[in-house]
Amino acid sequence: MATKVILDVDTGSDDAVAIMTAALSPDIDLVAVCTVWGNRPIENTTDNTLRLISALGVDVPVYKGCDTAMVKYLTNDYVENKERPVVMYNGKAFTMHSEHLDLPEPKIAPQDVPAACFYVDYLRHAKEKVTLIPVGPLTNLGLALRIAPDIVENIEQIVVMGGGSKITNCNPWSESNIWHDPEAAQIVAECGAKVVWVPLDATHRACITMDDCKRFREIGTFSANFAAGQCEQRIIVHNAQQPLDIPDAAAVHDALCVAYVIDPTVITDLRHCHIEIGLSGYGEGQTIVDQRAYPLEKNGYFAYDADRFKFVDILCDCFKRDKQK
Amino acid sequence: MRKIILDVDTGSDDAVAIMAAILSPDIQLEAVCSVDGNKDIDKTTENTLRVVQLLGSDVPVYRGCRAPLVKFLCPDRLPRRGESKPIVKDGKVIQMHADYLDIPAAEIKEQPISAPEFYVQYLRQATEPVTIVAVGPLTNVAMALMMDGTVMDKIEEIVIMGGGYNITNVTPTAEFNIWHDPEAAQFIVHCGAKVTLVPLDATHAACITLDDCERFRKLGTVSGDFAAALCEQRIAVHDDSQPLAVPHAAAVHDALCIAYLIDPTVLKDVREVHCDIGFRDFSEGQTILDPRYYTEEKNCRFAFDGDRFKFVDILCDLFARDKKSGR
Repeated sequence: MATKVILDVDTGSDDAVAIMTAALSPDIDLVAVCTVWGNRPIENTTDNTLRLISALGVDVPVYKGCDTAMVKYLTNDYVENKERPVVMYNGKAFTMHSEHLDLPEPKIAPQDVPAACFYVDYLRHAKEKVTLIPVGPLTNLGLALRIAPDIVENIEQIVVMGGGSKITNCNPWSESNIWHDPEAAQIVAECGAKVVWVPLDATHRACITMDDCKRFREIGTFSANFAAGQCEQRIIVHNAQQPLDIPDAAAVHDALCVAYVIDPTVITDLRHCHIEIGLSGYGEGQTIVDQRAYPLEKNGYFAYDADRFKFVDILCDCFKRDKQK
Repeated sequence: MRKIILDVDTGSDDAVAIMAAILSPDIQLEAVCSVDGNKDIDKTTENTLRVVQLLGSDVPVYRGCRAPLVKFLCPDRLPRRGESKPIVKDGKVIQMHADYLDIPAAEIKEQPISAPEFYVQYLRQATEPVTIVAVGPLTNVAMALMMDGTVMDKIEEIVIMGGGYNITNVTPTAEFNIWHDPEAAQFIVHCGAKVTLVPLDATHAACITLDDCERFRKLGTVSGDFAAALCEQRIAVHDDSQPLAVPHAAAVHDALCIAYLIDPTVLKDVREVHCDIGFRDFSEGQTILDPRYYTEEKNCRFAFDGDRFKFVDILCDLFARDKKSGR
């Protein structure tokens, strides 16, 4: 039976791949997509999400979420994140996430309820447990869990794209999604539901290469072509700013969380541990994994490695099912 | 008629505020939301329902947040330092806020959705402006406005019982409601709505005396009697651990916010200020007012004084309107 899933995205190039994978997988029943600020402001991430759902031609409601972090920006007491420069390639400017996805204007509108309210209402009345896949800042879920802590009873698991133990991207100690809203991440970490953290340690291993993009394009569907475009854009930026071990490759973080729900063996080193989030100073947004022999109570699962070949196979299987050419 | 939503952590003075709001002909009480504060959320919700039921009102009650936004996520926050101790009088333990109000248990029920959800739903659909009167920690209101900033223009004013400039209670720098959820308070004072803070400076000035309690009792109504009992309980604790300038008197903080809506002149010396909330160390929960000539932008109104005679007159007028006779 298909797993019921709610996706929470800040679309976003890798978010787009994640949405398409979730919408097309026969193993996933995509209940809703919530948007959140993050890679881009909420207006852009929502518009991009709506564009993609429209283009895919699937019937999934979209809920617009929060436009900033829970409390981070209430004082000027936070560590600045430096914007990375635009990458010039063949005379064109590339960023990791375009302001607007290169798709037609959306044909659908967001639902008339904020994302956090949707979580509370949906989960309180859910008849079966739901898997949550938040792949942007955790603001919506942070609010929902604070408003109604009892909703964890109807959460199967929370598969978070975020954090990093040996790899970071935002600053020397943090990954972007977690750094954007550390307090919300800590609320999720300690909420009592099963939480699986899919950090950079795993996503950089499950990278996608130029050859993989070629495989996508050969499938010939809308989603395969669009995913190839997003991944190629990411590879150009990765090559310039964060080259991976494998040449001409990019992490496509968010999609790995969806692949994990489809086939958990795509994550190859998942450890049960105590995880907490640094909230201030040179620790703001850090995913702290207690590695001592006498750790604090284990509250989550942290993915250290992943299988890139299996990941690409899963994506190809999903894109093949797309009816849009 | 001014439409209001009351947000409470009932609470002895909250109970007086709820009764005043229900009875006022100038106020249309749209809903009462409970929040974690003086007592845990189960108790503040039950106590709120008890007061609503006591007055035979049909105002809906929404259960709010169980904990502050983020305060207790990390054990680096300032603990409470010094507080009013319960006292024993005539063999009975008297606290500023009893766990449960000494009135019949609630048979009426809370609404099926949470307080923050209610705020969003109500404000989205509102066709007339509404005033939010928050007399507990600001968790619910902050949650709602974080979820949906587009409803701001439906809010006429946010009246807050909280803070203190020359007077504090829970630490040397902080008043309880603000200290309990400093981040929510900072969000609200900067949210862009018209914000009026009714701090300890005003509520201690607008104190209620034992003589005033006698006046409440003479009205012979349920609300008059119950308010008298609550105020007497507060006076006993105040006398013991926070004696006021006026002898045998107590602050009844939350009710002053309702009185202000009925007659704004009950607050005196209301100044436009720049206010920030301290988050850390010894300033946690402090309402920091910028005293400099070259102040930062003014973001709220802060009441430095209150008129205790006018306050009691307003309350007496309201309790006299109660159709349920006491004793």
